[in-house]
Amino acid sequence: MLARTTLESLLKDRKLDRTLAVFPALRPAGPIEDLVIRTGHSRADQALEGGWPRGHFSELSGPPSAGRTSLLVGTLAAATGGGELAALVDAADRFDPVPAAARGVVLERLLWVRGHVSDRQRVVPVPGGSAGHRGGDRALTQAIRAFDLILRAGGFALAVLDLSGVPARTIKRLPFTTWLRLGRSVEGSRTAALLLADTPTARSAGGVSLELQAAPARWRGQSDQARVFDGPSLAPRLRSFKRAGATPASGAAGEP
Amino acid sequence: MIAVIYPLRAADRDEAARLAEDFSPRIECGASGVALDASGLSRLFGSAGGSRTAMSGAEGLARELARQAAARGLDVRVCVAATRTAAALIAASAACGGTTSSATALKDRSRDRSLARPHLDGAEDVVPPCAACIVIPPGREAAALAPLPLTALAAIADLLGPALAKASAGAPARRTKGQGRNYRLAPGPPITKSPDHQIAKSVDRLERWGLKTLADLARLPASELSARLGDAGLVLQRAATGQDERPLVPATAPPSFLQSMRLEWPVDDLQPLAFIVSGLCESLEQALAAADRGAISVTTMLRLVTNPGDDLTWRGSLPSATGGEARAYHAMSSRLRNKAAYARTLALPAPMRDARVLRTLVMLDLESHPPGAAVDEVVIDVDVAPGRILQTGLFEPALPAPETLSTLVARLGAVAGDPRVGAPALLDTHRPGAFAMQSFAPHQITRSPNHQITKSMFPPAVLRRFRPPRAARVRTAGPGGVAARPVRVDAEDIRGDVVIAAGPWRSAGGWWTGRAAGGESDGWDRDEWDVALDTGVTCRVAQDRATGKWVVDGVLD
Repeated sequence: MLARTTLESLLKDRKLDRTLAVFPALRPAGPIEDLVIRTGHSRADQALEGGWPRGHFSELSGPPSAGRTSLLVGTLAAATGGGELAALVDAADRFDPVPAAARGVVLERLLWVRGHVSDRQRVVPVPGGSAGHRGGDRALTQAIRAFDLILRAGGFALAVLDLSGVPARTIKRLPFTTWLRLGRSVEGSRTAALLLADTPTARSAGGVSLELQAAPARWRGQSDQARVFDGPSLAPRLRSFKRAGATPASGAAGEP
Repeated sequence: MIAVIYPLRAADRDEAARLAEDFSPRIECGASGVALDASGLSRLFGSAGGSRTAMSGAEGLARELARQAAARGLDVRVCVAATRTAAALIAASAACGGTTSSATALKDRSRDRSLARPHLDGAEDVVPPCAACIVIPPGREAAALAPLPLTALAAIADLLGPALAKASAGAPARRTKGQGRNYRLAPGPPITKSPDHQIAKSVDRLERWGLKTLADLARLPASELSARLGDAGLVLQRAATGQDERPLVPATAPPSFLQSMRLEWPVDDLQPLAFIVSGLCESLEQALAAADRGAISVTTMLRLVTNPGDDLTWRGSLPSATGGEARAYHAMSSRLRNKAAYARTLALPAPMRDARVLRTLVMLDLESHPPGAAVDEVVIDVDVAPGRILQTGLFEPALPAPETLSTLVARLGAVAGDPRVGAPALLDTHRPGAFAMQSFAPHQITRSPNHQITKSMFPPAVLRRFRPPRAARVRTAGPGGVAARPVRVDAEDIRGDVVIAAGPWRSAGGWWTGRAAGGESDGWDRDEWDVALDTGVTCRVAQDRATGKWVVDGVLD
């Protein structure tokens, strides 16, 4: 009995007790929405085995126009449309609410934190110094701090840190433990944490790492005046799948 | 036991109320005087003779009330009786002096016992301990009131008003005869008569019957009186015998949720200030819990230590201040003297009273908007609302508590800036990229749980929007005008040859607002293109038709 108590205490100290609680095999069978949040795109959901896993820190990366934001908007619509709350830390302040609302995002349930991070490779010189002050560092730190606050507060079904457009140099200056710490913050909760970036950044601190590959955009119509942008061609590729009790699935390319 | 203090001057009424508050927490003010519940006070005020009976206690209480009133310069009449009606009638009659200056008359009557008989048994027990106070022994109210004229009832119109109104409302509808059939008149609009008017009318009728005093009214058979005057007659008869129509309703002072602390030494750092705010918030939490209320807005006012030569400056929004901010200011204004005050008001999304939450919110707000000088007084006032009753649905996802969300939003506001945290809201405009920020309050969403989100059939493309749009140089090809197609885009971080182009789509609006003098126009008029570059980036470029300048709105993603 004493040994069990000691073991449980140790697990609790190391925050490993909650990890066991979210192990899919140990949980009672329920709707898939209890375990994941869908993206709204069939190929992406198929690659993710249903959607972004709750209680894990996942990552979505890809170059511009690869469809990251479309996937993000679909995920936000699934979370807020189901009556849950979502939070978006928009480091570069790029989110556009108008198309999001048209695609089903309930804006009243979306907590939007607009960051100050500039996506321009700007270095602000420090007066009298030669090293210079990296202007984006402080703003990026603020964005990560805001994201950490949201994860710790809990109660959100989806928490997104959007670092797309932030220079990779600025992100790489962050200590790697940042992502581990964020991953630990969300462990065992019902929150699906998601990081958006241009390149794989967090190296999957426990969740799913999905990479969207560059693919030609889809258009409808022949002439310039009749042509309409029909969305990006999503080409998801699963980089890592560390969700407990799950097996990696092969990526699928080219969503029609 | 009820004591009534009847001020002879209307201006003394407030001071009389304060005097009554010094004796009992249960007081009621009205036109018939200030009544105080003196139950149990007789033990505290014994007579000079030392006999601590209830009667002697009442005499002592009346004497003490009269003495303290005189010490305060009040000209009052005090009466102590078992019922408020009797006490008010006697005190008012004594004050107006019309009824042979009641105190003196009663004193005389108590000496001349023959006056009390044959109907006023016990009138000899009316005790005038002093010229300004009268004590009516319990059970002798009718006897004490007997010699008063009928017109004395007008002095207690405020006590009889509700009963008279109820009696008038319950009066049966009158019938009229017409062509051999009786018709019931439809109820007409309610006629609100003042109690004074009703009493005067009834007294006039009673006097025409030959009645002079309250004893005459008390002697009438109740059934006959009711048949002629209705329930109003019975109300007056009960008042003539000193019976109360309603219990004493103590006036409750509005609860104050203002906490303040003055410091011997100024505090110039927020960390020690947090301890002070924490203590004040804990006191507030107790007061709010006792009143079953929650804070809906919190006003924090700090008195700043400035140089003696500095002008008194106000850094809040006092000119339009209302509610807590105004109260906090007035609580501090008498002590400002060459010092500045700094005020912050926080509006909370839901009533809350958790001291830790309030403290956190106040301190986060002060961190975001620090006062510019050391602080030597802190005042926190809250506007309150009834406690929150939350009924959640069985099939709805549980939302975080409003306290948690408020704290989170405040913390995020301290990190990112207040206006950059919240929920996006759409504006009723077609202006590209228009939106507004509103407070994040998911608990106030009135949307029904089964509400289906209406998705647009043709949703606009998802755009990662640059704020502000990036200036670009766009090379076009073609015959010009609308047919001029972009072939090359050069902007910061976005450049390349156009592979596919879709457009132009003309968008214009706001032209009716005109161009502000020296400022930017509220209108827009432009042609938009969605272009795919050879670098793989798809973006939206737009040309202002007035200036011909190109910008990149964002990246289609």
